[in-house]
Amino acid sequence: MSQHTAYPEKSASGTAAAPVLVVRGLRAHVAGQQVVEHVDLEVAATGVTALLGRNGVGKTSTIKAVMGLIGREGGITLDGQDISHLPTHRVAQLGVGYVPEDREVFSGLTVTENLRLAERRGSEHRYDLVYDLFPELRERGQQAAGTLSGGQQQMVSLARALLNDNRVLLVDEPTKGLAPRLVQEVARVLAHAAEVVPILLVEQNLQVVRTLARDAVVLTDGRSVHHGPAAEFLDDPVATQRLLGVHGGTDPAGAV
Amino acid sequence: MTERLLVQRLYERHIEQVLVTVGLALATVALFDGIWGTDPRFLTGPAWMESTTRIAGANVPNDRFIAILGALVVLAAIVLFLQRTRFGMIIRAGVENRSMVTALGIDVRNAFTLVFTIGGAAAGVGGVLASHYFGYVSPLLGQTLLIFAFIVTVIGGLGSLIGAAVASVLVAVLQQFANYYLWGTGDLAVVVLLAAVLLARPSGLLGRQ
Repeated sequence: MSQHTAYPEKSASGTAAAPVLVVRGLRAHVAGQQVVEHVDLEVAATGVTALLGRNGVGKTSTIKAVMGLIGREGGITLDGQDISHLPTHRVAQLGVGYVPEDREVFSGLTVTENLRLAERRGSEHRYDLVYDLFPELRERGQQAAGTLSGGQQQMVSLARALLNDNRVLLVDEPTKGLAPRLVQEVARVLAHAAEVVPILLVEQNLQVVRTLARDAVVLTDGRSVHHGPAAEFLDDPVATQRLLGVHGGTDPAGAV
Repeated sequence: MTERLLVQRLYERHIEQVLVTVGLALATVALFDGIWGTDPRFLTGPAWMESTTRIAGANVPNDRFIAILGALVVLAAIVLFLQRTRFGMIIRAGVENRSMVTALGIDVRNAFTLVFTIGGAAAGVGGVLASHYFGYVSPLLGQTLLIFAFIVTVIGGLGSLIGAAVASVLVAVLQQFANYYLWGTGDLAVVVLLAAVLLARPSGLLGRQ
């Protein structure tokens, strides 16, 4: 049954801390076309919250709508502050880090320039953390980002978001198109990042979701239809088959 | 001001941008016609600029040196600005992917207003240099140059500053040589060059593929 389910009163994981990001009744459109119908979601104040669903159900659009990159209506609050009417750069300045689906590094700029561009005023810049996680970025600092491999570009994209002291990260399919070894690498980085900043993660690789995510929100046809602990959802073969078209985390295609 | 009022609403909408800016250009020329008339005003520069210097058997008017020097200074200034400043970095990134720049918390509109202002200032410098080249000013002065400016931009490659610089030298030299040695076919030669470049490299000499 894919009707809209009310959001549980208390965070599914049972933690008392208020969620960092709350989305209520979100609708979004691209070029006049409705791509998000009604999404409710909460990103817990710590750890990783997964945003799941089949292809084309509006996961990426939901994230873009939160960033203000596409037209949106509905409630979006960050630590209680309404951000639903703010332009994208204001949303980012308030501490929302964005790692887009296709990395979107600036290919004509060097790796160092990509990072310097991401430096936000009023935030400390955690180059130590970034170069610690991605030593390669220091070595390739003067290389044009467009000449990097997909995995390296993903590192630049993640590094841009980790450089600042963000309140939440929106990470869209960070392992897409990467070799298994790099998928592991990205998962390791996200696990490390989740210790300092809460993350909303869109991810097709359910093995990665299983390792990282505590909570999960599932979308179908632009609507959020399930909220709950990630492991519980992935262990439910009926629900994962119905909402994702796969068996949670045991599907060979999703295995690492 | 023009940028803030009109052009800013039209990023991503290139056709409308051209319509608005060319429309404004025509309207401004008409306005100047109405106020000051279309008669050229002749002007004279300092005496040194009116005389010539002999180089390799040719008498070159001194104002041409000023024009060349001015162009080089403007080019160097813009290249340095784009490569060395944070604003330049924002502009280079913004040309490539505007929305991702905003997603990093940067208000790109300010940077692009600055680009428009710099463009206007560069055009102003160009106008002053051109007035000495022609020896007069009139509202209609720019129209023949505008065509060449477009051709130079296309040959150099849209979005490439160095391409435009290389193409401007290429076009000018080709035009002058064709005029001198090929019975005044300079303009034709430029159009042939344009066609050849478009056939061989549709994105221009240094444009992005």
